[in-house]
Amino acid sequence: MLRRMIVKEWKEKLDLVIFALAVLLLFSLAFSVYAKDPDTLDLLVSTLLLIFPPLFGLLLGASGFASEFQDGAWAYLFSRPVRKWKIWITKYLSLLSILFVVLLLFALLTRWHPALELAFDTFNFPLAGEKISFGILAYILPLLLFTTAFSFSILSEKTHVIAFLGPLIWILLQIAVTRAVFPLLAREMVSSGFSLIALMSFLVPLSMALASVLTLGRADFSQPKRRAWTFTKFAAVYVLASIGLVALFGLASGRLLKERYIYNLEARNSALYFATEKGFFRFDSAEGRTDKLTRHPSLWGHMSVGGDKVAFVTYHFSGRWRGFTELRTMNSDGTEDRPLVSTENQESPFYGGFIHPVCLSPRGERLAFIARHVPKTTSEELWLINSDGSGLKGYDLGIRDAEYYLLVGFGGSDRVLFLLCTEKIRPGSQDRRAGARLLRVNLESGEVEMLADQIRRPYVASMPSATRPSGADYIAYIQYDEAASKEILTILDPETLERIQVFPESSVSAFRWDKSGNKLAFLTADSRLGVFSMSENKLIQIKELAGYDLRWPSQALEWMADGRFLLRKLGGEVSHLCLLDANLTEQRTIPFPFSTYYASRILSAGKYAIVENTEKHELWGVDLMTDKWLRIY
Amino acid sequence: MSELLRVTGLRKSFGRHLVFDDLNMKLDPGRVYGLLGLNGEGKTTLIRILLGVIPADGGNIRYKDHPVSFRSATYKEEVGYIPEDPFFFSGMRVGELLDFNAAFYRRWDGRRAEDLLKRFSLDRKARIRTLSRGMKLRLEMAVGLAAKPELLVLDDPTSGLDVPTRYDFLQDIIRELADSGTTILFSTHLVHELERIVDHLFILHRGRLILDEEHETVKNSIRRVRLAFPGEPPQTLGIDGVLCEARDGQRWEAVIYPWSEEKKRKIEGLSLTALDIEPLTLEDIFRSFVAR
Repeated sequence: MLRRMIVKEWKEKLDLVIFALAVLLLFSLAFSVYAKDPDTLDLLVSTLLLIFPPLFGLLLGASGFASEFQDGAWAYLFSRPVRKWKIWITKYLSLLSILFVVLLLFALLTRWHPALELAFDTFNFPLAGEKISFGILAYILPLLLFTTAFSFSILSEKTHVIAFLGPLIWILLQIAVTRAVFPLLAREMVSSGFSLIALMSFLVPLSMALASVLTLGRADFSQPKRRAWTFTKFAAVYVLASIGLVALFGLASGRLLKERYIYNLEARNSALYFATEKGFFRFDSAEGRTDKLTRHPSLWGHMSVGGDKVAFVTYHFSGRWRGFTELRTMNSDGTEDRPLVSTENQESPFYGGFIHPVCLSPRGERLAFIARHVPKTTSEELWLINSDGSGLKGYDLGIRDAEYYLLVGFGGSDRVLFLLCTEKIRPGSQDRRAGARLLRVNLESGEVEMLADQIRRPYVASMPSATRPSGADYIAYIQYDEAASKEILTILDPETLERIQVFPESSVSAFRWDKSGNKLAFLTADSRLGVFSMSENKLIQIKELAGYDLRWPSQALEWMADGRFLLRKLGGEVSHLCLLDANLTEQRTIPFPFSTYYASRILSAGKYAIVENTEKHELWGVDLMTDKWLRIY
Repeated sequence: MSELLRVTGLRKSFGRHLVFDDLNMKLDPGRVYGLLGLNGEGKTTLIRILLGVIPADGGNIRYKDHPVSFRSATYKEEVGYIPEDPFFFSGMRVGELLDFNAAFYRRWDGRRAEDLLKRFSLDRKARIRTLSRGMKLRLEMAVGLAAKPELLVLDDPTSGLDVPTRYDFLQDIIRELADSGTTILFSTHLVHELERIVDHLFILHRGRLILDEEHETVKNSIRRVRLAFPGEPPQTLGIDGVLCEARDGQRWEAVIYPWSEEKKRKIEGLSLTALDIEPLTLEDIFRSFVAR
């Protein structure tokens, strides 16, 4: 039956398929013609992506039962010896096969067209503080619209009415549900409501589909009003059930997740600062005690520690379905918690936007942050403010289509800021291996200067946490050397622009400054551990590593304050923490207090070595004087 | 098996309009049933309920002593349906429609379908929308018969057909089917068509089955009498079962059901100048019942 139905539907919808193919062909030609014109290509790509798949899904779904209505053939079909829900399912699957083939052709065009190689990977636009990716727009949204419109198509033979009403009702339901549910969850829900919107986006079409199947199986199709009423009743029941499900999910995820995820860990001055779903905490290694620093919830753990200050981003529900973010500072003991800027106030240049990342100066006197997705104002993305709330100043970085920023740190006695930026790769771009760029911003003149590009693993780029005696700034990063096809650890002196390639023989996967900022330890991709001395300006140690757990390399190595190293070692089911002396000789191993196959993050704070159980979201610390483990979180 | 289909207490309304209430009927195997009624009396609605096309508001339907409902599908394997307006998927070709239907029926006889196409001079490749109404009807017949139904339900299929086509259809197909043991429920408002083929009569009128009787029995027990009196006819003759009557001066005409010898003797005993007693055609029978 399915095969016959597929044949029938393909024949009936052939005109729609031909139209779709013609559109794809036209766009394909247009892509070729404008292959070297990124602006036009960008426009064409956006147009095709935003319009074609959703509209095709919508029209195809809306025409679902049109032929049955137009020919009065619904009665013919219903008189056949087949259950009505089977008719619905086979028809749905038959039309789905058409959608699948057209989207496959669309995918082939967009993936294989030489002018579009990278265009779609980078197509994002913000929604509710998140980004919708190409895959969702091109495949998921058409499927949802198709399902919704198909479900409605049992109500009328007027395809245009269904094509209009279907998504309209879907969108209205989405808005109604989010407005109704979000405030209820506001206290419990600590992360973005995007997951709930996404869940509802699936549940609404599913509700419509179930209502449609049941209506087909129970309603009198010779009476349109009664049919519509039956559908409405079923749809209302399922939508209410969906709202309940979303609410339960929101509450459950809030309860389950908020005490689990550990977003951010920073060790400074013998203390460990960390942010979880529940808030911001400080572990004092001298006293072995953990304190919650503030009652404010964390927004994905965005925080920065500098001097005796902690800056952090928090999120508040404002009673509406979208809340607002707030940038706050406090002393490192949690006192003097105060807001600096907020996205709530309509007069604020950050109104409706998003604040991330943040970076405190080494002494905690100044604070830089990036404000993005600000709808109404300004090309200024980098902002500076004193930690007492004064001196707010914006900077236009002049970077078109920035993908994301990472703030590396302040330099030049807080007069300059170093940051990394990744630019969105645009359609037609030939720079296929473009990496992040290192920028220096003069915070007094606003001048922006590019210091390096082709930076890989940008999240490990860093400056020493301690101010060096000489007062000079150094930035270490991993840069791709195209000639050697290697990722080289590079140290840059921003004053002289002198560069040191630390170990050009091998690609480097991670590195760490020591606490004094004089030495740099690194791990190579071929499992070697090396140490570079800034004062001696040479590689002072290099050693092959065997038997160590070098997964998640940026978190696999840590300096202790006394110059010893921490590494992980796999040993059966339980991993071990390994302590290496300054000569890279293993001193002793301490088994983890938990078993996991995941790579654990390691840090040091004072006399404690800290291990994060990334599987169970726990923090453990071991006092290296007594080898006793302490559950920190 | 004593009965093929039994309907008990069936009720259906469209909004406030009651189509029928407490409707009861029974179909036995191998017989031809005529379902008669004026336009809009609910014949199509009744058939659609029997076929599970629309739901009833109440009542029970049993097929071969098994209950069936709006959601049942299995019994339809044995039930063929030829609707009033042959609604197909008009974009299909003749052969595609046969193939499409073959997927639904386990008892589908492909060879028989091809034979019927030849017999009805139907081209497998012809588009359905290009066929005349008569050809569409033949195509429906081919579909209905290839499924080898035990019950064939025809909903006024000959309305709008020219006379020779109707004659062929009724004479050749329906009688042949009936002879082969297929039960037929034939709904029509062109009553005279059923005269030669129908075994049992249902007349649906004002939401009730006002007649549920064997055709032969009805024919034998209904008479039209025409009387002429020497003076004014009396107000009443004292005879029950007068379905309809008409007076014209000294003349009086009536249809009497049930007819009996006793009633005949009573009439013959009256003082009359003329007396004429005659049987009725099926069309007259129908008109007499619905005129009541």
